[in-house]
Amino acid sequence: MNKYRKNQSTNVRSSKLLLLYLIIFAAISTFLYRTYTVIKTPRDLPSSTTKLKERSKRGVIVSADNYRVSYSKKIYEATINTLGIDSDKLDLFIELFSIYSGMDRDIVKSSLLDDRGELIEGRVVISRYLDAKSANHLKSLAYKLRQMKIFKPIKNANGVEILYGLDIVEVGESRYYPLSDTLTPVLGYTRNNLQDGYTRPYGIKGLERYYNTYIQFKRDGFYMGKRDVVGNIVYGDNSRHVEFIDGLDLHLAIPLRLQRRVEKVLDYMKIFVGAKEIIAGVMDNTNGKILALASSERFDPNRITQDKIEALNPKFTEYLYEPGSVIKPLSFAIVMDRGKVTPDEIIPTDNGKLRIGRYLITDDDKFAALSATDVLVHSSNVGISKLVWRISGRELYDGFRRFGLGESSGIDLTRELTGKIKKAFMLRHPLHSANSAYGYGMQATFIQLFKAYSAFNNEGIAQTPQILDYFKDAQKEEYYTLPPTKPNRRVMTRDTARKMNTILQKIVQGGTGKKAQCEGLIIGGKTGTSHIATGGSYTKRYNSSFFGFANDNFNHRYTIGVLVVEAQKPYKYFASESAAPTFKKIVEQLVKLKYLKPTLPPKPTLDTNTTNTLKQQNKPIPKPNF
Amino acid sequence: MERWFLTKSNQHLEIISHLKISIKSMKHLLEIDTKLLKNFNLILMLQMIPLWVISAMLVNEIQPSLYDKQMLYYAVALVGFFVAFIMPWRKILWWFVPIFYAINLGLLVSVEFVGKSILGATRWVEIPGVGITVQPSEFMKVAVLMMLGYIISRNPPSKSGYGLWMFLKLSIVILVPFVLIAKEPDLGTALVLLIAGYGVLFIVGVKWQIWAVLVSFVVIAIPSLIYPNLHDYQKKRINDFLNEPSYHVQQALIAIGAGGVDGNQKDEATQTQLKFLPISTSDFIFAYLGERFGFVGMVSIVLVYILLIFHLLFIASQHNEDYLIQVFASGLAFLFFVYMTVNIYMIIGLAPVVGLPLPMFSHGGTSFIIFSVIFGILQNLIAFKDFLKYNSDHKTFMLSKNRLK
Repeated sequence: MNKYRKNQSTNVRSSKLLLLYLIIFAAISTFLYRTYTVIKTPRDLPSSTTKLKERSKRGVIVSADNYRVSYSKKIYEATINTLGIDSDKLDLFIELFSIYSGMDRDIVKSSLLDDRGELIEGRVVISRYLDAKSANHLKSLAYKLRQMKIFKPIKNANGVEILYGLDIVEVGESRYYPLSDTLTPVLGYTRNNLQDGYTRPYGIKGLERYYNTYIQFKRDGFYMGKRDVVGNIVYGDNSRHVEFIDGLDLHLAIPLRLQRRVEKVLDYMKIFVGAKEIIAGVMDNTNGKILALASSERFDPNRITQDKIEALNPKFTEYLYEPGSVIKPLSFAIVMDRGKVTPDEIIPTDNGKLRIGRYLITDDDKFAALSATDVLVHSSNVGISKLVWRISGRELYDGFRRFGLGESSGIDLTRELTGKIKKAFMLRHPLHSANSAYGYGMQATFIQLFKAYSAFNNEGIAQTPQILDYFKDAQKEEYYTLPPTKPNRRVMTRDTARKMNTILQKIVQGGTGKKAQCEGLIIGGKTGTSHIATGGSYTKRYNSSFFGFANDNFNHRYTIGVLVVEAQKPYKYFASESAAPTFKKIVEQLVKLKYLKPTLPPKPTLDTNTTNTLKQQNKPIPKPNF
Repeated sequence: MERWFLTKSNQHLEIISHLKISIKSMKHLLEIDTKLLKNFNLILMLQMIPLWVISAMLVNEIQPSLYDKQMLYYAVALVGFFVAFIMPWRKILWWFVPIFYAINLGLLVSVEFVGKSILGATRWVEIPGVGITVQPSEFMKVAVLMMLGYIISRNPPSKSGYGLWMFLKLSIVILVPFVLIAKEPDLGTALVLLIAGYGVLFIVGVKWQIWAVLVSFVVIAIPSLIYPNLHDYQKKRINDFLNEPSYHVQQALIAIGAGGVDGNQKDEATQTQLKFLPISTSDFIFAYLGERFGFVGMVSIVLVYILLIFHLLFIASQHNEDYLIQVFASGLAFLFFVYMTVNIYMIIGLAPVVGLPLPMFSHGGTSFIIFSVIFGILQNLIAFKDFLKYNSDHKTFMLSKNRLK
């Protein structure tokens, strides 16, 4: 029994061992096969093929008048092993390097020295930000330095001698903004991202961010093929070339000439009225494209400094404020759209005082009664309150929403705030609806109002502003357009829009917007001055805005908006004294750059007039003055 | 004189008789010594000499300063071997093993809290006061083998092998340190421990149904459960292994290819001498062997390993009644096989790059000394196999064995 059992276990054991031996045998055979093939495969040493990488770049941002406002440059790094320089020839090397690279002699020298002023031993990066031109020069210098025997071989621990030289390596791509602060903060800025030893910019803010996926590099290209004795690729049937694909070029609707002039206007007006900031926008109503979107607070994206951090965020979409009286035309249009008011109707305005419970609504200019048009012309709070009470809270709410309040406008800028309006059930209450009717108790952004006002100049259709004109694939010469994220929307009937257009013109002719008037043009718009509320109560700081339009008789139509944040000088905080004059100056620039043609009454002396025009024609096209 | 002694005191007589007894017992010891030499497996030791000689020679060629260190390791390993050889393992096993295992587990756990990080992996513990860092996972190999041997010799399997309950018990001995080591992270060592542990169980005998379930589970689990939980560097290595070889492996393959069939002279072995081949003295020493001695040299060394493994498996099958010897012999065989296979396969690009040395060949102290200690224990077990038969302890041992059955 015992013997039998022993035999059986021996059987089991030997079959197990057989399995193990088989595994070992398989492992050994694999090893033998693999090593044999490795040994027998002929070696390419030195490698007979070579690969040349061609890095693709981020697309260029181009203004409508073909200025490059943002583009990428390749950057190169120059490194050297200081142990490899013949110490007698170090000064010569520094001299030559500074000549070829254009760098200052002392800077070159200091990069080779450590804190104590001694030569750093080993690999030293002399510069990390060389452009393509100096990189090319330095490459030829590297060759000449070898000819001049400036380098000596270094012995390593095993007694092998190695000759190091000057290395120039492409290390990345850097973003340049040749026009410094122009078009910021709309343009935005980038940050560098290091990946696999190669630096590339990516958008953080503004257009650089919004269109990042379109303009960033698409694919690196390369040449691959047999190499010759010095390492150059032999181009032929055996060489392979994969084309690199750059990011798309971003073409803006904004012409830089106009943008820069508007910025200058804002800079001037900022000092003139003592404001914290002024922002303004111009939209072409024929296609909804933005022609200028400027702020007095700008920064240089090449060199962002601590004090400019506030300016990094575009106020157009990120600054919420109580708009004040500029809402009145919206309320009026909503009521008129419902058929509850006609422009000539007489509205009692109770001598500028209206009591609702404990609250008192007052007007600055007091009248016993006004026509409906004059309610807007004289900006009567009492009048507009009485008008909105004619419609229900839900109707008022829907009307505001249709104008785009409380939702993003769809402009191509990052981080757009939506603001807030009172809910429909609250607007049922006469105090809330009156309050909202003249622009308090709500929050809106500049761009929302800008978009809403475009409807008054566009037959009742609010246009989604767009900064992008088109994308261009520079390699294939192909063009792409991108519709705005929100389609244009009808916010009132054509008839209401026309009537509103006339009323807005009257405000400029005889009301609070007088200072916006320009001779020979069709100007309309509405002022709005609102207290800034801090900590639950209104302070003596003001936001003043003017939204309106400027048209001529040649079917040029522009919606223009101005927001003056906290004008300090006495009386300049009234929109009629700050925002309206700014509007006018912008219109003057539009006229100068021939976006608008005033129809002026013929002047008495015809001769001088013709010579003037002739002179103007002979003039070269004026270049923007930065 | 004797008389004088006798007259003086009876105590002296007692002392003399004691002395006589002790001389007798010393003689007895000497007698055992000769027996020891008879049972000592000298061939097993001789088999490994080529490994040591060639390894020392290669290390000397790559970096002479490391050669001195290597000699020091050899000396320490020799001492370790003899200490392990003369320890009466069979007598002290019952208390030594559980304590040793527990201490090692404690060390592994302490790595988690006070471990030293080198190159992103926390595998080392500094012994306070001495300033020496040790890698507890290395000691764990010995502890696991001892623990398995101890438990298996106490509860030998039935003829069809262990059932599920015992299998789970033994699995815990293997899996707890596996998890701790894998968490360090040191997946390479952990996997070696796992494979060696279960290899021992395979040799000793476990019901085949359990293996069937286990194998099918592993096949399913590896892609679905384990891969997502790996560290990023581990994923990258697997990715490199599956797609294009990493820089290290490329250089190793160039070295092997340059070696050709019969290798190069030292000065012509440029891959290693010009430092293209990374970590050429430890993990990648096999590539230098290939460059220096070519295909012939590599096959010879592999052959030495295979013979060693066969011999160990043979020892295991010879002593099919003594489970201690079986566990240690087969455990060593598996350790050698897994280390060797993974190391060589990673060098020739057939396995992901994990930091496993070539056993008793790569330059490195801990691993070499640990292996000599295991060999010492194995030799001790073989030499003192019949020791207990000569004294009364044997009876109790046999009794206890029967009782447990």
